[in-house]
Amino acid sequence: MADADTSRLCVQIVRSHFGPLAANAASALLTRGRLSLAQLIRYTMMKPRSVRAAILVLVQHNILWHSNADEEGEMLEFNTLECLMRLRFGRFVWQAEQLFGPSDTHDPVYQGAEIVQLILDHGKLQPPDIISRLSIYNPKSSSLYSQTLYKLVSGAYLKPSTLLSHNSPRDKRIKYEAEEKAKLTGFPTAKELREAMETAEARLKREEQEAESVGLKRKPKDHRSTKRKAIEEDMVDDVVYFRVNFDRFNTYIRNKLIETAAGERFNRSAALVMRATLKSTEAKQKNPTSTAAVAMLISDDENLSGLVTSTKKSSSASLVKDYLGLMSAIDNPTPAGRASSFINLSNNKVYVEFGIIGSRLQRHVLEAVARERHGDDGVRIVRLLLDIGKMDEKQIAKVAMMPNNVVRPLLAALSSDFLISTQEVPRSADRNPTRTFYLWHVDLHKAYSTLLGHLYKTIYNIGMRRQAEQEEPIVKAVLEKRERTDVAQDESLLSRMERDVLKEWETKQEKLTVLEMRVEEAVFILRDLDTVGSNEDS
Amino acid sequence: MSGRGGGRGRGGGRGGFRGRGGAFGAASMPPMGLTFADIQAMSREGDALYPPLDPLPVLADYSAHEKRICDLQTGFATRLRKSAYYVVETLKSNDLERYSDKYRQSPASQPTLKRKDLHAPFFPTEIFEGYFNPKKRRKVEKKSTKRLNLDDLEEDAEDQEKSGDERSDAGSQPVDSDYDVDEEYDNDYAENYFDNGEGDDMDGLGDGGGGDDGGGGDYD
Repeated sequence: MADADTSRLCVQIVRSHFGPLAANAASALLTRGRLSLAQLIRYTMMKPRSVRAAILVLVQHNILWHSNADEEGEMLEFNTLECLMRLRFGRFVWQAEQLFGPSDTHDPVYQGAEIVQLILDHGKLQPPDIISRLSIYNPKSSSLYSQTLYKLVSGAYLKPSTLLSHNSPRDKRIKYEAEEKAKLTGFPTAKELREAMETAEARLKREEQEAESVGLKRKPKDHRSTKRKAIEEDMVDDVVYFRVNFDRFNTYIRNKLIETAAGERFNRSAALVMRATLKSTEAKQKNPTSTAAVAMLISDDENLSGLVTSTKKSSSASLVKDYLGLMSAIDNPTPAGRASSFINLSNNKVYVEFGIIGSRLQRHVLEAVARERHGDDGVRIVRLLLDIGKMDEKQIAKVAMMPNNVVRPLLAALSSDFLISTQEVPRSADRNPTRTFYLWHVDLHKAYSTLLGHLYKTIYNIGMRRQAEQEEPIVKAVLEKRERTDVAQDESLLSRMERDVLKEWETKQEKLTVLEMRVEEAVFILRDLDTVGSNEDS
Repeated sequence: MSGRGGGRGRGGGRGGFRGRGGAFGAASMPPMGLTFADIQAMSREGDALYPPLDPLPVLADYSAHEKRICDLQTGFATRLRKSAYYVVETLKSNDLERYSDKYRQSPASQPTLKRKDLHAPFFPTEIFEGYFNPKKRRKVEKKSTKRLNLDDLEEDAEDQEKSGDERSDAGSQPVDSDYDVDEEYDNDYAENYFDNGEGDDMDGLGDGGGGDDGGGGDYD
């Protein structure tokens, strides 16, 4: 189950990708939660065969969890996060294009991107399937594809799809807790119950990690090479079904955001230095890197200008050091300075401060929304409350240097948007409203979840606009005509006017999709920035 | 001592009550620091559904990278539309047959899910089998437990529950199997119930009422 905005958006995504029948099933599951097949058939009032087809499709694409409980039979649950990730598929494939470039510049075929795209098309695939489908037209390229596949798997861009990943985490947790509790004899105390829950949680995490480490297997050792040192080599396991690892691609989106933030805060060269720092920590982002390593990654022809230096010609390495010092706010050792830093520079070690940057980016989104809706005064109040904490209305008026009658309606407007909220401090025992203090503060969690809901609604509106434009009679007729088999092969069968209509529709579609991508980036900042950092343990 | 403490508590309660009554009577300030002047000054009309935006936001230019990303994203939707993953139902249409029908895509031309493309262990077994083997499944589905044996009820409580669940599961499937089961129960009652009105004497309604009263009177 999810709130109204999320479920509406998910249903729209499912409808555009899998058709209106699957969307019906998805909408029933999202409004009513966990259902069994019989209940789903009853609520959607569709033919059982269509419902089964929809379920199979959604399970194949990892959008539906299923579990087999003893009492209830087979239950289905919707995975909203996976569904919302579908908005980013274009970005993932583009990223794969950038990372795994073409082998031959004359005939650019982006093998990595093709593999990723194929797997995203089908949800999950086995390696022999992947290679055979891609090398249909060109049998000789299958070795190239296998090599790229190996690179993708070893770089954790693809992860194996396991049986366990098809069960909802909530079901698994309940099952493990039940098992742990069954082991307790007699009446369990609160402490034992808590320990049982923690053991279950740890077991859940451990199983997930183990399952996802499958995927590569040892190459069968060559008997002839026993004289040489046996180098252990891995190759891709052919039996395993692979799916795309969204977290890995999300790190690239995050890195790009950080780089742009550094560029906006300082200058373009700082962005370059930031990019080099992030690249040098790519392998293990928790580990620090050294300034020398960063300097190495900046290519010679990039001009690191923009800093005032005492000597006329300073080497690139010293410029890098200066930039790193700048970004770590060495000149401002106060907490405020630390909160505005990008990296942590100590001795010669460079740590990128993902947590600080993440919360700062989220705050920027919050302030941008406040600015749009309530003007600069609103932003002033929000910033004041974020810095200081909880304040009374009179105090706010005094510190923010705004008259009382301006502050009051602003506070009411901001709180109706859930950006700020009150904390009641009663003066008397009976909580009389005229005798309680109302302290205003910014409840970050509530503000971010409201903003996320608004963003989902915005994306849904963009999708509806796109659908409306598509269903306008003239455009609809032309699109249907284009789908005809004879026209699909020969576009010149369309008249001049029809081609114009088509072109106009395609421009509109492009603009709406660009807008959707940009809003999606804001969703990334609010929702995924923390989790990407926390999954960086590997 | 406890009496005095109790008395004070009671007095405090009374005082508080008086304070509240007094506050209401004396036109107290509304909460959150608003004044009555502010409340009166607020507009009583509803806000417009789409208030005018000034200036109207315009889409900033997008780079070639963004265009490529958009093309890839729309590509997914187009490819999925033609694939086996887009679920369609064939409906019989009564329109006239047209020449262009042979060129148009119909639901029949949509590729369907193939069993060999899907890895069975990943899917819920009943649903998987139900989709790909619709005929075979029905024979297995019929459960034999129809009558509850009351003596065994206590021991086999769990089993009965399970089979009851499965029977209700079977009930959602084509109604044929359930129908037979129900008919066995209802037969006795069905034959005895219907009174087709042959024996009723329409004129004797008053007597029937009187008879009823008489019948009621019999209890005395």
